[in-house]
Amino acid sequence: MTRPCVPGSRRNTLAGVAFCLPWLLGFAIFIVGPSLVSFGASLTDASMVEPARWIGGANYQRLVSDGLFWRAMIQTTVYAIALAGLGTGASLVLALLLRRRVPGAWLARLLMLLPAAVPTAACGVLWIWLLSADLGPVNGLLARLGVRGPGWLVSPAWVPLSLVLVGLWTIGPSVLILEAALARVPRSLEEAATLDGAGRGARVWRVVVPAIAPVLLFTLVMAMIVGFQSFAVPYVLLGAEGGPERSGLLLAGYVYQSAFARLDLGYASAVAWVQLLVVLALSLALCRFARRTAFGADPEDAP
Amino acid sequence: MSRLPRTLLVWIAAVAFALPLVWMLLGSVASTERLASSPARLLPPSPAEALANAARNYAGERSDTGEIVTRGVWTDPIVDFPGCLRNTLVVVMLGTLGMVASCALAAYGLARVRWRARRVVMLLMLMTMLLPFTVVMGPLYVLFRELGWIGTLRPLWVPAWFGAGFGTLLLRQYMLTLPRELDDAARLDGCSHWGVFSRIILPLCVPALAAVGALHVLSTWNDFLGPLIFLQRREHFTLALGLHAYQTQAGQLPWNLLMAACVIVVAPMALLFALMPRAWRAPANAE
Repeated sequence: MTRPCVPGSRRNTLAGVAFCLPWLLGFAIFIVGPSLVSFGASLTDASMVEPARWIGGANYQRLVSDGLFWRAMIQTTVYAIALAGLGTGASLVLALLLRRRVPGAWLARLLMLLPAAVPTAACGVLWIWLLSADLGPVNGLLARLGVRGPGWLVSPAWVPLSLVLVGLWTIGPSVLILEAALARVPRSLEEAATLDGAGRGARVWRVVVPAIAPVLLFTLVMAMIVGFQSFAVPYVLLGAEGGPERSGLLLAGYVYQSAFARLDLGYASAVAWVQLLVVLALSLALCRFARRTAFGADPEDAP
Repeated sequence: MSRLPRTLLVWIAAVAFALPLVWMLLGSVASTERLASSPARLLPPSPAEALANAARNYAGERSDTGEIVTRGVWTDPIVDFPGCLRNTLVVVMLGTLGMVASCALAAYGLARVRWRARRVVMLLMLMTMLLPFTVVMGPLYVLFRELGWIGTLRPLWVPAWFGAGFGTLLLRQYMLTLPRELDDAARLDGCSHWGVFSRIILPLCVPALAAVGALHVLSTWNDFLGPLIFLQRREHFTLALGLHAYQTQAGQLPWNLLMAACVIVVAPMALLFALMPRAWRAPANAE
């Protein structure tokens, strides 16, 4: 006996909801609920242990004049942009290098990807040792080259650079994504450019790279979003306070401190919501910028 | 760019990426004295000594009366690494099972069932991937506390049973490549949606299911913030948290022990990764 499968029918809707039920429940319980509570809490003086009282926008006003918040905001923004920019750029260069046959490329690729599989806690502990000013192998290597290595994790001037460096260690997956995108660029495109007299450099930078612009943009934005929410590695590397003169304090760490060390859930929620808004704003701004510059001809190609 | 400079650049980069891990391994088979001198000299004098150091670093040394002479990572009195490993395995296995099951269900609902609201659901899934964990972590803690789950491992694996946007969308993409004729044939034979899902689609999705599972294993094993917030008792610590506790205890532990501990935490994931050639082989159309 055949049963008709009418699109949009009530039977289909029930089936669809039934299959998506676990996700829908989880969405309500673990995403929507806590988000609403978090927003509500940001308008109260909720603490982790005491009941909340309504205080309206007082948390947000406190935020504006909170020097530590602004330091965390600036440090996080610089970190996210530097990491996303340098990381995507380096990934692009490596992906371009791997386009033509390189002996042992499979091994090189594996080695580049391996750091991304390292647990963040282990990554932190490992780099504490590696970047140790007197006992670490990095400065040991530099000493062998005749250079006196800096206090990577003890000098407030070097901490931001150290964080970006450790972040760059795990760009492997981006290289893979960009490699896959480059592989999809039709050869005919490059051949046409060569026929038009384009040199090797122009062929790569004016034809091939723009051809993967959507993926490039996606990689950049995702890297920025991830960087903006970075918590574990800076926390393990520098401690809960954010290292020397708190030069490594990032927004996620500040939220964590406010919520779980100072038990100030209301204020922590306010900071978290500001963080979310900034991430959204930055992503939208980037997409809009790209839409205007890279996709000028056909806006429908834009993501 | 011609072949030689290209090869050199690629391999310089590969070595740069691998060097920290090589240092980690060398550090884990070094003696305490060697790593306490500055600048660090890492190459072991001989393989035999490296092995002896490794044994000492992992197992420690006990005197004849059973007292600890040298601390070893695996037998450490303060941080119970074997226990941490057990906890991590529990969380990983239970979580991955739930994640794969619920993602598969939701993916089928979005890929194969034609209902009007499914585009809305997909949009919601995409939006959840943008949400920072910091926004929900405070209220989630309170929720789990009210449920009485804070002294257990449940906050770390139960949410996985409700699926996630990333895995679902990944599976959905894969399911969309399966020909609809299979569905139609099954339905002509009287199969319900559940029948099509369980007997036709699911068995054909094994590669994608494995990918979603592997990704979840990786992200759970590596998770630090979750255990940090939701776990309280030492006997529940996962490897990530145990390692952190090991490193932050009073009195600086010698670096060779800390590197050995890192190896314990890193090695399983590195092995898993190396055994998944699909994850790191060249893309299909590469020259």
